[in-house]
Amino acid sequence: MVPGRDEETSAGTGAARLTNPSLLALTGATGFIGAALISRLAGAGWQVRALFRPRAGRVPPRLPGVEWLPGDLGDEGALDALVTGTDAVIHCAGAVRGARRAEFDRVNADGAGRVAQAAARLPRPPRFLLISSLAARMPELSDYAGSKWRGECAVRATAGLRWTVLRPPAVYGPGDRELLPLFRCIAMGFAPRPAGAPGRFSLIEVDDLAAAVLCWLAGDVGHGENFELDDGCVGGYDWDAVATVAGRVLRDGRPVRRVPIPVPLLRLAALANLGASRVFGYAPMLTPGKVRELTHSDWLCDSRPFALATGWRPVIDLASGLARAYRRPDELTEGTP
Amino acid sequence: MTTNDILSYPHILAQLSAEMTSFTQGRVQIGEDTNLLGDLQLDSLQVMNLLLRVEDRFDLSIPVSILPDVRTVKDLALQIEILTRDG
Repeated sequence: MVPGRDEETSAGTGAARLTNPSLLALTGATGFIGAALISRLAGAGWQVRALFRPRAGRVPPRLPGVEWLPGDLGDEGALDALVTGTDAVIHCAGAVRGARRAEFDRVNADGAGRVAQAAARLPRPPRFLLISSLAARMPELSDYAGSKWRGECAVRATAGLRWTVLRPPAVYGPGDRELLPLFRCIAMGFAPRPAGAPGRFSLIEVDDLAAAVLCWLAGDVGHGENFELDDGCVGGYDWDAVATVAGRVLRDGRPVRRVPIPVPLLRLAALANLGASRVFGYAPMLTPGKVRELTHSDWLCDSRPFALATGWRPVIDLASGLARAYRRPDELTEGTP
Repeated sequence: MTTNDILSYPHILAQLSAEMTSFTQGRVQIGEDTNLLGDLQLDSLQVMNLLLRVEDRFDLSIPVSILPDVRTVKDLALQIEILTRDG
């Protein structure tokens, strides 16, 4: 429990929410995780004010209780408008691809800090949730990991803010673009893996992550803490375990050939890709930093402290998560786990 | 190109072959029976990039669920025909 809770909820949480639902501010709502989150928030009856970057052809989805606010993370006026009158702010915006450190920092570090400061400027600062990444545990590995770490630091350093940091591991689910290439490979019958990198890692399905955010909102707990989240698979996964499960779900058990890729070759490909991306101005998927992330030996995490604090439990294991994301709807009734 | 364009199979096949010829820099003769994994001499990253190029060219998203049955250029062209037709 946290000081300030009594005066905030003096009318009684349940009754107050039914007649006068709490207002949330959300960034990153058009991204992979944000989209899953906002539909779940809207479904649960929250009022959401969501920041989005206007772009030609982008029409944000119409959802009950959702107000879309055009603006940018660099625009303080827009951020003030975003957070005004809210009970909680969720910073979900994140850059996962970039060719240069500055591209990651602009969103993941500076953006997080600016949203946090906007929240702290209010006479009654809302609760603040930063969706960070497990990568922040190893800031030296890559520009992405470093930017996530710097974003966390900026939030923690914001005076007067009641913050919580969530560090999910690799997130997959409908709409994901980062792990999609791996699952596509496996669906086609080959499973690439960095050779000689005996890494273990945790995973989480995006809807379990969204459920964790809803639990954090409901409980008013966890202030001043960092929490890791995973799908509850003890000991996590290695590449072979993912290939086995994904082969069963995405290929109906037809064989999946393991294709070891020597790490030096992966580094070489990443360097070439990074060079090309800088020349041609696209956001690269594979960079030397990404290779260091991919070959890091320990991306395991433990969500028990968060579960204890909030009562959240992950319910989607890898097999059911993959089926939900990638199998045709008509196949899902045939006894898929 | 938009997904509203109805493309015939021969048209799709021709575009797909052109894309693959450019992607493999002409090293491989592309035909209907060319195997995407065995014959193109591409590594996994290149195969994934090829799929992205194909998605861009046809302005569609290739679902994971069709991939187990895609082995040859013909398989992929037939799936693209279905995807463009169904929008």
